[in-house]
Amino acid sequence: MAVTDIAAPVTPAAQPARPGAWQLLFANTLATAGLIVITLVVLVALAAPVLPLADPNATAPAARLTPPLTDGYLLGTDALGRDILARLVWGLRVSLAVGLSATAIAAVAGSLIGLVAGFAGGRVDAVLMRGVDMVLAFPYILLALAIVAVLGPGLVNALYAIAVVNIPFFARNVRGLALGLSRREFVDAARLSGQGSAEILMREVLPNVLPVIVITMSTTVGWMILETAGLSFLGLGAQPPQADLGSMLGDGRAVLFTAPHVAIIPGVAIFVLVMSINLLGDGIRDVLDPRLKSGALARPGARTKIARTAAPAPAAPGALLEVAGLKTHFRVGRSTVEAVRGVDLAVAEGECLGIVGESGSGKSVTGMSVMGLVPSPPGVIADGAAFFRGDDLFALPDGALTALRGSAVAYVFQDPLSTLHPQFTIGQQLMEAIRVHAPVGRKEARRRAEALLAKVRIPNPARRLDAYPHELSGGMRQRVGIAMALANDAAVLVADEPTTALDVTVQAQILKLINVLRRETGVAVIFITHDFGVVSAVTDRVAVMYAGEIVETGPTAALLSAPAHPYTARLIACVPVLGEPDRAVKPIPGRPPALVDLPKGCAFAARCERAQDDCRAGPVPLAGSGSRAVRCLHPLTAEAA
Amino acid sequence: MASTILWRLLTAIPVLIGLSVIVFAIMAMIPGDPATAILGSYATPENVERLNRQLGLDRSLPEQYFIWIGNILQGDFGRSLSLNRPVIDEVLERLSATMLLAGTALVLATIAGLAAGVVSAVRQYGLADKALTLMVLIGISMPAFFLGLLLILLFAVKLRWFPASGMTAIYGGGGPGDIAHHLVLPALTLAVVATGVIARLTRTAMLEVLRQDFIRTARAKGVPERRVIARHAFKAALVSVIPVIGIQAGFVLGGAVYVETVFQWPGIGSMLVTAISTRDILLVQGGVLVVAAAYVLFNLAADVLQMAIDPRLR
Amino acid sequence: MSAILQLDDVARRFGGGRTLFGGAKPTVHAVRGISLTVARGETVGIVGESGCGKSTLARMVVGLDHPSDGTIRLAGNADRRASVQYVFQDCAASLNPRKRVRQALSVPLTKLAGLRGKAREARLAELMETVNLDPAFLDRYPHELSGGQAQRIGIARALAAEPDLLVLDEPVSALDVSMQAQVLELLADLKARLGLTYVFISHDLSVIESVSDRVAILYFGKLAEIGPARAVYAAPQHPYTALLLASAPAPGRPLDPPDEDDGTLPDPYDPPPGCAFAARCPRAEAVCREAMPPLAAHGGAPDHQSACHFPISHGAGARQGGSRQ
Repeated sequence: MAVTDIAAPVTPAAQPARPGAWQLLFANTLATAGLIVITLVVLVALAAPVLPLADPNATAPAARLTPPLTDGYLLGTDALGRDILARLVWGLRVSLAVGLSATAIAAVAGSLIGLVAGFAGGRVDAVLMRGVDMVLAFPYILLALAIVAVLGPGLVNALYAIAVVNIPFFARNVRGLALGLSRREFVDAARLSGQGSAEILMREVLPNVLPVIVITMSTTVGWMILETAGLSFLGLGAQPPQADLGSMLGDGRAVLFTAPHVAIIPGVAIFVLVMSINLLGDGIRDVLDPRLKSGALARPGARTKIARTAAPAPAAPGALLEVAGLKTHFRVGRSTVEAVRGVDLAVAEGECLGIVGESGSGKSVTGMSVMGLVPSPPGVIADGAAFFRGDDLFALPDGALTALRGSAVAYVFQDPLSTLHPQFTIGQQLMEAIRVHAPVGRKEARRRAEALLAKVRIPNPARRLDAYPHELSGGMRQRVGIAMALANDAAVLVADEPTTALDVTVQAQILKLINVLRRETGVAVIFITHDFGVVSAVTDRVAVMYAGEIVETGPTAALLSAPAHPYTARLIACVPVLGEPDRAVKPIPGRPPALVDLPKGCAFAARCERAQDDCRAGPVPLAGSGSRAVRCLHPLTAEAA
Repeated sequence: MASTILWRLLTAIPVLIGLSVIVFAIMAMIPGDPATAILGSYATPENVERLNRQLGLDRSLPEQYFIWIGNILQGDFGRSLSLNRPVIDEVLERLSATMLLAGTALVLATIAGLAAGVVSAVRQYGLADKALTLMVLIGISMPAFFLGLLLILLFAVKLRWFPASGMTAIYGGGGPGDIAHHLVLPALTLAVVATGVIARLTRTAMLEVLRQDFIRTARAKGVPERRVIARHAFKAALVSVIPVIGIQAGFVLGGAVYVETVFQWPGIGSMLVTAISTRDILLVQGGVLVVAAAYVLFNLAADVLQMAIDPRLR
Repeated sequence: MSAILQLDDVARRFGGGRTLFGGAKPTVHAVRGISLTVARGETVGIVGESGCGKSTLARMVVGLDHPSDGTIRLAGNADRRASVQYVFQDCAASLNPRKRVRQALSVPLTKLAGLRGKAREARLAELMETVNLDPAFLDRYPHELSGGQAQRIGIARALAAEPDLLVLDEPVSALDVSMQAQVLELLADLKARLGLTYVFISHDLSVIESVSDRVAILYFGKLAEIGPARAVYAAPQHPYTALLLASAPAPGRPLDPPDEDDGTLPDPYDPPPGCAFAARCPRAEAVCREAMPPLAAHGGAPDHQSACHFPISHGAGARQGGSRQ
């Protein structure tokens, strides 16, 4: 059959068209506005010699301090009777030129220092960066003042001074990035491919650093224009008769009370110029910074958004926790990722249910949906319900749900380092878990926290209470995570890949602990994992998920020894099993379907050797008898397996 | 932790030495004959020669540095020629005025910036967030020297709520109330930019932190959302905000140069501008050195605070 | 069979030296003296938990790092880079995010194989065919690849210079199980077709068992046990190997590891004088904490060696039957 022919080369799927950088920039209204203003300003500044302007330096004592909008003087005149409009345009030219030159000097010098320091590392890095730190140890403008003091007032000297004090910002940003990049594996790979150091720096590292240089430039150029204007304002930059916006503002200050327009006009010009540069700079940063590009910085709410039309009724009376018809989607832009597509589950008191699946199967999202822990945006519960002792959790008000979190249903997460707060001791974190649910004092909470640590077999619990998470080993941290979940005698524990980040001997200890605690406390467990070995070690029943659906469920031992769904069978067959080195490992061809564009029939049909036309025709129901159920029209029978 | 702090204190020493070397090097770069530069072109040759000897300019540069730094460590910064008094007296007198102004501005900026940043992050894309983001953008694009002039026009000239310049009233001033009254406009002007930067960074840091796994853990154990934000997220966000407050202290000290000039506040900033115009190099040198040293000490305090809230750094 | 790679008492320490004031800087002992010979055409599996030094060892074998002590020798070929190549664990991270696949694969073809123009294009197409990918992938950027596809590209790049030996550093750990099987099958196929030798590093005992001819168990920078894969898995001599095997979950097997406080390693800044496993070992006696046990054969086949003062002995039947009870 065609699908089993793995010799067929893997072909790329069609790529969705991605918006280009300019498209993204123009989608940002503020940035576009900034770009338009800057373009206009630059055009005017460039065209200054050919514009029909008065001589900016021609004095007219008779017309001094003419107010704006007077005939012949659109913006009025200054204290010497010079035309402010003409001076503004010419001053703009000077300010722009100085600001851009300073930026260019700082960017080139700073980036070079940063690149070399970050890539070379060691002594070179230490010497260069200590020098840069020295410059940063001065309050910003003070060093510029000292430089101007030595070189003497003047526009070019101000330019140098501003450029020098900005070099550290480029050097630091670029160095940090270059340092990280040169430790990355692709640099090792380039080295193994035969490239030399200089070549790696220029061809592998630099292209990755360029966006940051551009971002730093676009966010500092406005600032540099401001600072050069500032030095001119103090009389230390542009010297008469030359004028930039800053020195015009400085001149206007003398007549502030009698003719405020002389100061206000150049001041507003500086503000508008810098503001539009900053708007554009922010826009450029958003386009180039990949973290912001994906909209990943959206703040997740305290609870998953619920957008279901009607709540289903509980179907499994007597279940401790029941999930019925759950559909959880991620809405990103205009597309909807259907992560969970109608999941039904139930756990009884003291039972351990495993949910097995590959990444993207929806197993974690199912677990998180129960207590509304799927981040929103982008997560949305589109349909279904979760019942705890018959109560619809999705219908509860926020306060009531928060009260049930940790006390009715508690969670243990995958990476115990990132899931504990790094700045609180484990005692503080345990006591908080206790005190948000039980009205007890600090002393009693501490006593209970100590008992919890003892319960999860942490030696020397009283002393460990004052340890911070980073002071414990991975296995200890996960024990703390479990202790925290047990703090309020929760009836259900959702353990989401709790041992995946751990070493195998530590994993075995944690699995054993979970088994012991189940016996001791009678807590029901939903155990989410990708590992059949782990499933077999801890669970009573198991549900296998694929592309957001449960494809098969049944008692663990029976399901593992005689899988009915072809996916379950193939998934088991493609994992090497300890003690069976001769068992052929048979891969599943192809990849799971994209969750944005799912086939209307069985999601596994495209990879299945048993698939027939009826599989692709329409949705396949989860059907079964007794404790087992399978979502397949042509299941494997016991004899075939 | 005590030993870490002690170690951090010791690391400030090379920084201070480095600062003094840079300041010395800059001063040594003065084109032409330094004595002439200090005394001006009308100085008599005898005076120039005497000053050269006095400054030790007939010796090698390293020797000059050690003589110079030795004097400075004894509090001898030389004599200001334009004011005809010891540099150290003038600098110390003006330092307190600058510290009052910059300190007030930094406290204002920190409180307002943190509050605005947290509100902005919690109400992301809401009306408050949009309004605050716009205000922040205006704040960081507004030149302090222009904002100062605008505030003078509005609050001093038009409304007459606050005085336009100085630190005390000419007649019968000098009390704490009087100084506070004079402090309002310059401190506000100086605080605006730093507020914007701190608010911006706090917003980003909060958004970043609110996506972390340990926030999910806090929610999963049933911590109410207000507490999640005020305790768990804020404390974690502070780790990246405090260094920025340290950097902003430098910008505030620098910005004081403009604000003191605009409001004629008798601080080191306005002193420096005058000293540069009158080419009073020793006064510039003393002022820069003292302010830079104060800034180093402030950053030291920020680092210690950082260690106090982040146990991983200890 | 001739040896292709020989490691002689290789050690790697990080840090060290003297501080400005003459005090000794702390030294991390990552690899603490490993001797190992890899024969042409075999697959040697290296297993160990985090911190055992397996990645440091791999980096030294390919030349990305150098031993502090001891020697690493590759047979024959004078140009070392051409004969050994490396496949990275994090396949996506080993590709420059700003370069297309074509550029990434062209570099070793130009630099190491000296190919240009048409010859290079032809070899590019051939490489893609070798790793079973459509040539259309040549114009993709790394972020447009799935984990399995990126790993195939990583393998193609390693094969570009026609190496004799591939060091595979956790090549399937970052992949989903169904992708894992695809890559394992590809690796088995390539080895057979191109006559490669593999050093296969993993923390996954069952993956190592299924791919290896010989297995080396690493603990805290030293070999705890080495031998033919079947012998080691069926009759582990070192108590650590036995603990690992008892800890690995397998479908249909109840899990009952011995009780332990915590599976922490000794301090890498201050390695113990004796056996590093002694603190966790149920069989440890005073001598274990004082003297380092040498790697030696203990009753089994001569090529099955372990570093233990009190190795677990197995009856003849147990060794053949593969029972661990």
